Amino acid sequence: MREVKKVILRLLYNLLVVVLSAFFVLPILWLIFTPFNENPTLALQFPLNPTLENFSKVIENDYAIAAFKNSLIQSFGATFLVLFLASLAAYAFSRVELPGKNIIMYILVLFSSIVTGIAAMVPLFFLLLRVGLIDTHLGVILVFSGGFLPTAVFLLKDFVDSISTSYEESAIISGASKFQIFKDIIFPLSRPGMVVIGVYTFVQVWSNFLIPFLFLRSEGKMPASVAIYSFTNQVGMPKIDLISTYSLLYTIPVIALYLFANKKYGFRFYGGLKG
Amino acid sequence: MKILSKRKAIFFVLPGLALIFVFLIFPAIWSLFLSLTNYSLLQDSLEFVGLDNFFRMFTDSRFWHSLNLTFQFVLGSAVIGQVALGLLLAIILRNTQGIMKKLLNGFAVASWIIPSVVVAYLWGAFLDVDYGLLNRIVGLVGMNSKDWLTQYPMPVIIIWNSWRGAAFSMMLFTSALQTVPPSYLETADVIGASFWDKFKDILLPSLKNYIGTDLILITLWTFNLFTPFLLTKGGPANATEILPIYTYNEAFKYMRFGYGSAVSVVMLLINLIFALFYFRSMKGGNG
Amino acid sequence: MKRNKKMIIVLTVVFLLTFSFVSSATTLEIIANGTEGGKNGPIIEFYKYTLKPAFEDYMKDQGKDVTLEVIETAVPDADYKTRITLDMRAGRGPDVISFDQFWLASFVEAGLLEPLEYYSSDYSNWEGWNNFNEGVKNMMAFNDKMYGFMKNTDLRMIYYNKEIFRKANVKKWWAWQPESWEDLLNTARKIKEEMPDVTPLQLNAGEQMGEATTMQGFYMALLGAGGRLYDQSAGKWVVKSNALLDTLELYETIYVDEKLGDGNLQVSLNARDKTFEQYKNNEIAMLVEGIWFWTSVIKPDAAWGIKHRDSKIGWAAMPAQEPKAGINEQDYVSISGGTGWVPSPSTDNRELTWELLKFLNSKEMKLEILEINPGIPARNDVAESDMIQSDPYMANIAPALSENTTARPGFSEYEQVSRQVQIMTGEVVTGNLTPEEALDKYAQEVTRIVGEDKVMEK
Repeated sequence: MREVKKVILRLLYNLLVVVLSAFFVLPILWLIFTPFNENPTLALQFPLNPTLENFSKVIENDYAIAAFKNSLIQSFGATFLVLFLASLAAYAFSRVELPGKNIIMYILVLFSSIVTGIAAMVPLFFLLLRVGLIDTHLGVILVFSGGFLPTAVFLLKDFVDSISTSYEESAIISGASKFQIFKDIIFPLSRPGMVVIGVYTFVQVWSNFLIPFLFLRSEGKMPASVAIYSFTNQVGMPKIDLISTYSLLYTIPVIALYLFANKKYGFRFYGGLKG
Repeated sequence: MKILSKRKAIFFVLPGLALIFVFLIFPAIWSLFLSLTNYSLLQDSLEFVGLDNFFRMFTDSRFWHSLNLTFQFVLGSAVIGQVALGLLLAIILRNTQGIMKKLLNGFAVASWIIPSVVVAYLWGAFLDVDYGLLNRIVGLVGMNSKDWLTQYPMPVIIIWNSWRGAAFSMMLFTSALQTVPPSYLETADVIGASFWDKFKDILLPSLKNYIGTDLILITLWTFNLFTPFLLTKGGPANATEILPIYTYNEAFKYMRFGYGSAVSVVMLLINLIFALFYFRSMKGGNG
Repeated sequence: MKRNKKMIIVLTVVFLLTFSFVSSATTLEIIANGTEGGKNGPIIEFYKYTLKPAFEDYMKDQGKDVTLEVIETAVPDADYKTRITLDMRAGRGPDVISFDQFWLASFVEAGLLEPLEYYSSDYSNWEGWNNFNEGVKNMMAFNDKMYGFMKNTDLRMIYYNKEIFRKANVKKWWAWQPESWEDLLNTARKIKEEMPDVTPLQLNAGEQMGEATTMQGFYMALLGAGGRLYDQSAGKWVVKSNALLDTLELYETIYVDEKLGDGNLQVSLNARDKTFEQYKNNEIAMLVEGIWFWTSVIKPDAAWGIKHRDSKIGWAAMPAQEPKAGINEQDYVSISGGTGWVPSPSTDNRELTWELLKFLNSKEMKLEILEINPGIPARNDVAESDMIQSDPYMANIAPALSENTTARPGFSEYEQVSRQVQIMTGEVVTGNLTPEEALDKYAQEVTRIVGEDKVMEK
């Protein structure tokens, strides 16, 4: 009896794994196959005669292709700025005792939801206008950085907490400066955490439509998230062939970034985050 | 030994705080101020109206409807669909090897990093009434094609957001599970503990703090999530008009930024209550 | 030493800037929500390849070096509106803006627009005005002042599928024209009986359809019942009237009581696109729509193109509830809207902006526009042109409907009231609320939007 029960449980378990895998795989299949079809529709069709024609049509659109460069500038800009400033702050928060610092940090995270939300768009617009940052990459990068920094500090602090202070103590004894300690010990040791936060920030900036659209003006500075709307027909409906192809191109960089980060540094919340 | 003096710590924190102050606190306070005015891009003057926006909100049935949907959305797609599902996925990944592990992990992460606009197109195709893959699948079981986004709008966006976000919790818990010494579980196996016992007595206590952090972040993110708009525009009618979409409609479609800011303030307060509740229950458990 | 170096740099920069201002051409910018080859592609292409060279040459002949820059931005309409509003509020942005006519009142009241005399003191002496259709011209007027120009305008009517009508044995299917709502409903009943798979009639309702609900659906019925949303003479919004109730009851008859229309389709996602798709596939017999539907949606080579459109699809005027029961005692009703251009007060070159607007609205340019964006011309000399006269559809509708048409109330609250109309009709067609309940709710919401003192019951 016990054996039978075990087999049934095992079967049920495997079934669960298959169902969950299907759940994640199925919606994505369309993205993988559609661009290679000659006559793409909303239906999932395996490309029996795969063609690259859709790609050559998409590449003809100079505006949409140049948009990738802008996406890269804005996403890398914000990611590096966030990582640099967040790791400095997280280190200090981790190593210095301040009463109620968790609450302070959480309140900052809360505020960030207002700013990356909708209602603060008008104040931000006039702020950028006043300081002359409308229609600049820098303006967009600063707005994103301000929005994501609190969450980054919040997450990174836990990573730094998990790094034993003994390395730092021996470094202090051998006379290293505070910044050297940060650069040579903390920075490398918290790298898995940095990778997670870096990828998170990058993906968020890469996907965002409203912030670049409202704060940029020149077509030449718009990122891919805005340029994707140029693949519509006269009445504004998406052209399935071009939009699916551009979607795939637009997705590849973030997938590649993840695979690279995962391979090189291990994409894990390694030892961090204890709440 | 003191690693860092408070004085020196300031220099580490200052650049980040400066940026946060200018681009976060300042506009946020500006929004707080706007919530007390009738500010609109389509209005010449700005008048101070006190708490009028708030009274107006509390008597608007549409706001309450929206708040109710938001709670459903958070409970369904954040607590169950991301935190609980993420934990389940992490446990499965720990006990699965080979191709299935790679497949499950890979596609869950892909769902998490594909850009939102693309996700909207993907799901649009997936759910399409005439051509969609989902209808073909239910067709195999002999069910009629359904117009999912029209007939089951709330369940669809809840499932959609679970699909979209579960990977974050999954990754977090995967790391967390590595901190549970395997010997504990082996011992438990020897004494013949059931899966449920292992989960309840070993995994849950050691994961408690991780679950807390995850709940806080995921709840906050889900509560403020605007992207279901790309899928449903808040409809049909206002069936999926969760608070971020309600704010968007008020602020952008009708340019009522004062009112929109007031809604944001209320959202902020609700988030704060959530946070205090989580912090308290975590502390309580420890003590 | 260091100071000197700084001075030199500053001087160089100042010199360069001055120099560049003197020598370079003046630039004017025009914006529309579209992109070449994509959304609103034809009009963008017209700006870039027809208007731009023609206008630049024209200015050169007058000894002025002007560059016209076309700003393309293809995004959802709500985002386009946000962008131009932010820019105008900040006192910046393009010189000439593509603009939906029904935004006019709210933008003027918000102080974002200036009347045409701000740009040119003798704007009223432009000889082009003599050729303008007074009604169309005034769609861009507010409180007796002109703020811009209509590209052209449109009309609304019933488009019916003659093939379905023939199969269902509708009398005079080749030249069908209902004379009352009952007439219209009887045709729908006949189709439902003869061809149960076809949806007989779609009269737009619900929020998904957006402004298409208010214009193509609700207004077309309300005007036929002799009602209006706003009472001009009293200066108040009408929140309850028999006409309003009759209109909602018409919806109830169509969608709930007799199921002559598909209410779920009306409130479903992307309802308008789906409706077009079904219309194309012969699944809808009658649809109330605007000219745009004929010229862009079902145009044979368009997205929902119907191959033999001219022979297969017929049109009929929307009848009043009873003959003479319509607004102004009309037998038939229609309503018009459309897009146009407004100059931006932030322009650095008011006179040049005015020159551009005049040029854009010359007969020559309007003929070019008519070709890509057909509609009821704003200029009489364009209406008399061959292009209109040789197109049987265009040549027929204008005389038949132009005198029966009206425009939306130009008030800043209109957009919010319109949204309430959409909600109200959506509640009725889904059977959530009865007409009375829906109207009560509407009255309550509208009162809240415009204030107690600006509403009335009739």
